[in-house]
Amino acid sequence: MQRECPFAHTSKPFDWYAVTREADVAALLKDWDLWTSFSGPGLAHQTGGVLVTVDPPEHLFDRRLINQAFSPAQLLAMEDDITALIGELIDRFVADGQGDLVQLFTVPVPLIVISRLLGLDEDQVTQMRPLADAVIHPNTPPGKIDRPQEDTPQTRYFKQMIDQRRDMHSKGETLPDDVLTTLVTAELDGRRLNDVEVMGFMGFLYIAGSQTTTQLIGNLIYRLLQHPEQLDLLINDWSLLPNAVEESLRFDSPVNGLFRTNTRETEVHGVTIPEDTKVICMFGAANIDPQFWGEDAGEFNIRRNPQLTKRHYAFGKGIHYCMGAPLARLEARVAVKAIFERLPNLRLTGEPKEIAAHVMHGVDSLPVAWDIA
Amino acid sequence: MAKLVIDLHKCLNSGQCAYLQPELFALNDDGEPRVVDSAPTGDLIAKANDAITMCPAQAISLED
Repeated sequence: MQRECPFAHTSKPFDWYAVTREADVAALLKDWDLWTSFSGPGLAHQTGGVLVTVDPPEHLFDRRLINQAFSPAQLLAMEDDITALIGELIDRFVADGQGDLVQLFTVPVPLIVISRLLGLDEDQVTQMRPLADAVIHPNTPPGKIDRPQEDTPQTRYFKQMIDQRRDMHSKGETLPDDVLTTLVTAELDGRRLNDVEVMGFMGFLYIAGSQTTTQLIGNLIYRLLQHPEQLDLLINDWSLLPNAVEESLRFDSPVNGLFRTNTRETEVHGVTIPEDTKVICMFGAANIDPQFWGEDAGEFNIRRNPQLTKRHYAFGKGIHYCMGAPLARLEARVAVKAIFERLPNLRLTGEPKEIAAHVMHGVDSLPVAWDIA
Repeated sequence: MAKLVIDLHKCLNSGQCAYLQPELFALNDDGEPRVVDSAPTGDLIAKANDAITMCPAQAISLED
């Protein structure tokens, strides 16, 4: 694809382009002044959000704020917690001997973790599933999700939680140690977040943190089941697990690509691109570009040189690098190890279904069976 | 004096350090970071600590 068509043009529903080579994806992501995120990471022009729809200096404010509650060091300290939560989830179905691992496992894992992190009730969060599912549904109108201004069951629940925290805070009560408390109380540069901003962050973190990690966990389990020799390597040497997670991110990037929008007319591969044009950086294509990775770019190999593998684009690169990356990596490591340790002789019993969304890559079903002790 | 170092083995090439604190870090053409001021003093110590906290790979440290 990269050799024949490094730069693709589409005219529906309006003119937009795609870059597929590693070198081009790298160049666009680096030049955030020209290739901005102000119009949002999707095809639709979108404004007024948080993190992914802003550029410096607002962007720095958002990142520092989230980092107060979401720092890599704090996330890594949650490993025992996450291991326990995932263990309890497996307890619920381990005696069944068979089932669809997407429904049983890969969908609930991130929802449970994000509920704990955000300080939300797991049942309430599970009921919001259609919201996260809408992201991967091909017919969802762009920009129709994650709108804190609209009155929906989700925004009503978020608002109720925020009011409760603000009330506790004003009474001087001890607040739970979670992201919601940080959002409600955080002060940065003398400014606090209002309700709409807090809800914007919560909605964003919920959506960004659920489907993507579901796909990562599902993709890695599926590839290992497809490649028993690599699964054997891993089970005999769990020190390969971080490499396996990185190789999965490279080979099966959950997010196929995200858009940037140019602030002035520019040229890409000899084509003049007018100002304010959407161009998608294809992370998935860049991640298998043989020019960069070598001729074996199209092979899944958990023993690939980790210093090379880590250069993948699954989390983007540069100023918008995914803030949830340490959490996604941690969840994937814990989930994949637990599933192969707790479900002996895990095997596919049918062909998984690929998810239908263009923007995401992963499995929508994973029919499996395992031995019951 | 404390020395600012990046563990390139841990580094995940997110580019955050150079973005947040260009006075202390720079990226080469491959996106690999290097320390441009390895002995920060004054205000730069707080900036170094900001980069340490924000690094998604936890690859930066100030060593005695």
